[in-house]
Amino acid sequence: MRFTISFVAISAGVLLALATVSAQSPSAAGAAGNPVTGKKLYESYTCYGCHGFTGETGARALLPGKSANLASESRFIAFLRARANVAPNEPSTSMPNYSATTLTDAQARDVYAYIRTFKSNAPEVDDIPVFKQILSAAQKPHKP
Amino acid sequence: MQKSKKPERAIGRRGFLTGVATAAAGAAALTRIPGAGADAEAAQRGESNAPAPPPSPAQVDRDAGSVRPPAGPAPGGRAVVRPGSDLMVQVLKDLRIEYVALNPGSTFEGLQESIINYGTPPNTMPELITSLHEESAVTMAHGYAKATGKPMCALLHGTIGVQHAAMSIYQAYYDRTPVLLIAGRDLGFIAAHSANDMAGMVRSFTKWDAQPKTLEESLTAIQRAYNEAITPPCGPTMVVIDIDLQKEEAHDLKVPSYTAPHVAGIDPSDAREIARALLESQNPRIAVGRLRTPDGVRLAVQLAELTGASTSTAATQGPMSFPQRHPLCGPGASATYDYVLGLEAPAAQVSLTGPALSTLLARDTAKIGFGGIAPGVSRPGRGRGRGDAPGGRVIEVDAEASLPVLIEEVRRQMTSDRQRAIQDRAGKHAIANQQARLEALNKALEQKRAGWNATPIATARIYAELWPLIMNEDWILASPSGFSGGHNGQLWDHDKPYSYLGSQGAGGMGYGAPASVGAALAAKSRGQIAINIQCDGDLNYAPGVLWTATHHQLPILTVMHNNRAWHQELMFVEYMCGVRGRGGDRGHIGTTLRDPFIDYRMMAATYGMAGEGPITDPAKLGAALKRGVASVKRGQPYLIDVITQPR
Repeated sequence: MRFTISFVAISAGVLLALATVSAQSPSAAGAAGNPVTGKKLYESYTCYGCHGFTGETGARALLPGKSANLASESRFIAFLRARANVAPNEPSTSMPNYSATTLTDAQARDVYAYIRTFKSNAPEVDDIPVFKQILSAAQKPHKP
Repeated sequence: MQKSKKPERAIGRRGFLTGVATAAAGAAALTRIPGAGADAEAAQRGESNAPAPPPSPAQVDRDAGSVRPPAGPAPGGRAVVRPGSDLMVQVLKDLRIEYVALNPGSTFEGLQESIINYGTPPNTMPELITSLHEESAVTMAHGYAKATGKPMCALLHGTIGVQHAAMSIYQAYYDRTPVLLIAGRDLGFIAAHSANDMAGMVRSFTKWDAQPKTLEESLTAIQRAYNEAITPPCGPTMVVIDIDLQKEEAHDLKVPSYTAPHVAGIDPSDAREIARALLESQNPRIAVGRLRTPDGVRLAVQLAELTGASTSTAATQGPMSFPQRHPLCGPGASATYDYVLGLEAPAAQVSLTGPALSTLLARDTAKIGFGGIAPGVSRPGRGRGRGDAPGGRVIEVDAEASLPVLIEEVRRQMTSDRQRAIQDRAGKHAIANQQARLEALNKALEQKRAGWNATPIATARIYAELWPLIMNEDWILASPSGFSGGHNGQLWDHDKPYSYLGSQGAGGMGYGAPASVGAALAAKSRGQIAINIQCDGDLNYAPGVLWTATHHQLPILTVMHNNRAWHQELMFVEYMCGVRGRGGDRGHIGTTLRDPFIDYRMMAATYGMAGEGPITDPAKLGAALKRGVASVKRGQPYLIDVITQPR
């Protein structure tokens, strides 16, 4: 498997995340897998395509509490195996199925361990100056 | 070459095809290339089954620029005093065609020369816009028309230029957008660049075409093509004009006067019934979809204000709809509506919906329609706004053309009692709609803060940082925003007919940049600025349009949504890998833009455009956008490369 990317090299934020992951290796709290390996798998399996590079963005964020499928490692793996395995007529952006031949249980545990390292780094709405500007403008009367 | 004049005939959709063979034979006889074989001569005659000949020595000489033109008729004189193409340009002037976009081609050299030299001042209304690809030229016209509600012209080289343009013509057709296309034809020069039936290549996705035989017919054909383009269902139209008609002496031929088309509106009895219902109901609502022109939007506002109806809008999905922050726009004081009128939108009681593309099928069953354009797909109201339950009576009539008579009827039936009730209701709607707007905005901001400090940069942050910088400008968001999160829909106010120009039309890529350049052409002459949130994959189809923006000094800010992939397709392929149980780590093959990454700042610089990036630190984004907006306000295009989260 070749994965030469990237975004990591240019991303101070992700470097910080890597450092966090390393500090937690070999396993994140509540997860038996290796988050460092999990990070590589998360990127090579392009999980970021739907879940973002930090698990915060996109339509399907992976932050704690966002999905019951992340409640436990066993539930996560069961979810991966139970996705649709019949090709729909129309293209789908739904979560793919990951059989054990595609992603082993050990690999799935690693991915889960990495996902569990995600945490929100977002400021509160009140602490984002442009949000204040947007709200302030919206409160003014409409100018035709 | 002076062509013999034939008796004038009515111009029909395919009316000019008859007799073309005769004219072609005549042209070929006068331009026969010495030494060419029988096949070449057949091809020169325009016979469709003859192979294209190799270039003749004479042609090679001409291409090399080593052929001297024939001596003029007299010292200081000109062979042609009043070229036919001057009259064609006069027709474009009379139609108020602001721009003609073209990539140069020998089949329209006469017309091109007239655009740049005819008139006082020359090269004005229309101004020639240099395009590096015919697909870009047509998409510019597509974007311009969505921003203004009127066509601009794209001039296409024979056969190869038309084929380059084909996808964008198809897209404009699907988007019901008026575009005036003129294709050159030269039967006597390069056989591969001529065709018996030039428009045949794009006929199944143009609304109307003609191939006139005389100069006089050419002039009326351009006028008719314009009228057909702007008559609903709007769409691209094409006139094929032979090079000899462009170059012939016009003598005292007059340019025909132009008559605008009449677009039929609603029947007076229906108007009376709708007006009565709007005035008698306690809580009427008007659902507004995509109208044709800014005038239609103005009239829709007028009707809503007269009746005090709350309105829904499609302004966050595309152009020419109700102003989003108008006090009457929103759910209103009560969501229990007792009468809903749809204007190019589905509605519970009555919907005025202009003719769909499928109505063209009846005109020419064998030749009109392409792919998904079929009666079952183009059902009334599809893709024209949302929010109100369909199911009511659909009157197939253009809503915009119906509004004047509707407004007149409402005024006629108005009483002072009703007027007081309407004012009271409108006041309550205004308060409720403002509250709903603020609630929705607060909810959106709570969602958009996710990933605020993430690297790569969250797409929501681009839209959020940009909005305060442009909210007091007269702006056009010209690029489709769906692939970059569509955050404008929740964060920005779409109050002008051209605030957001919507999606590609047929989902064709290579649209964002040229459509934005077309919008920027409109913006330049109107004191506006154009915004282009540009997907990286989309830009790489024909990036030369950046040069056009720079060359013509267009006020366009391009912000790259550089996720280094075609992420929609990446997700599709990943899903298939999952279904087939193999290669989930190989979905990036063929769906990503890596090894190497593309440097868009350097790309812009290559085309002479100022810019910066790649920006990876979200904290640096705001300042970069500020520099970009400042540049564009000075009339200088600017590109900011932002490395982004996938969506």
